[in-house]
Amino acid sequence: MTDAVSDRWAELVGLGTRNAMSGLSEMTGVTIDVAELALRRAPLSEISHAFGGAETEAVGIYLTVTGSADGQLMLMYEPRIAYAFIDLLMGEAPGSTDSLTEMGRSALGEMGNVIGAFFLSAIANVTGLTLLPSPPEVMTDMAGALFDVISAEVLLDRDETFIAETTFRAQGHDISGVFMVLPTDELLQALVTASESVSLGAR
Amino acid sequence: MVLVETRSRNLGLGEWAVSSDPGDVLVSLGLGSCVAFVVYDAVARVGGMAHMVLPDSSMARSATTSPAKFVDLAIPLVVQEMEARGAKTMRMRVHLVGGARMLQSTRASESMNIGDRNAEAARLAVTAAHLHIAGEELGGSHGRTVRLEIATGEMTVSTAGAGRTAA
Repeated sequence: MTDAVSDRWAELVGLGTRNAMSGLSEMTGVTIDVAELALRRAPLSEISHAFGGAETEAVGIYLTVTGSADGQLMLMYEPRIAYAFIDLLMGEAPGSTDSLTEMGRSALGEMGNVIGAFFLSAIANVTGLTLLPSPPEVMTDMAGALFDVISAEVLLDRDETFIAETTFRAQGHDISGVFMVLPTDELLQALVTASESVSLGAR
Repeated sequence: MVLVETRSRNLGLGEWAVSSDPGDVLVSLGLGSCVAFVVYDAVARVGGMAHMVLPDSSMARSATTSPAKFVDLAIPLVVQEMEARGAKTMRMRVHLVGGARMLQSTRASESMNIGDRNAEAARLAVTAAHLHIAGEELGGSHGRTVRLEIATGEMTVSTAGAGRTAA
């Protein structure tokens, strides 16, 4: 991957992520900001370091992307943060949720729908590509096992991946987590080619 | 009784190791759809492990990737290195761990069933290497961690939110 491709990709992910957070703010009625957005390349053998080790318990919300080309989106949280999110989404007092119920899963799935749709539509708007999110799947397990879901697809192309890690915060709620965007080589190329003549600075 | 200080050697995705150092513990953490090939020769006191991600190297869309992430390439690699360190195939005790189905929904993409396919490919590769499978902990929908102590050949499997089982 060249620096030019990498820079363009970073811009697109930044654009999509900010739009996703504004969608989430609309959904919850609470202002949610992107506190930190880090984009980096990492060998897949070390991917679980992005989440404090492969045995760390995590809640994952997973979506695939189809349309002009394929990719994957994964949101990962420590369980206590996923529970805080459920409180926020359900309008419950902080600390009300302490396990993942069917209702909580469904709320997190809805959040995945909103984030996926807003993220992809922002990128689709500037590139002219068709990018469609799948229904989200909510999983809870060791982080390494959740990473396996995305790794199998990525490793068909190469041994390293491009990870976008986002920390976002809402008023009074500590909801930092990892939002990973994993394009196939085909999608990366399509995004960069389609957006080459487009200015991405303004939003 | 002699106490040996042990050190864990964590194998990431697509990594493998063979050891005859009694201080080593080979570990694959958080296996989801991945399968760990775990092998031990109790006479030679040599053990090996591969943390395998995909069933078949013919799936690769690029030639630049490492071989050990594929089941069909990793198992012969480990077996060859075991033999180089004095292990014999007829004494090798093999366990296969992992291959969970992490996604519950049925989706069109073939990669969704990667756990099942990894498990099947591993069984075939073990048979092709003229080895016998002593035990399996495959399938299901939960992640696993597997550890192999080189000093004793003891293997333990643990799952998220549950205890360990020894084999």
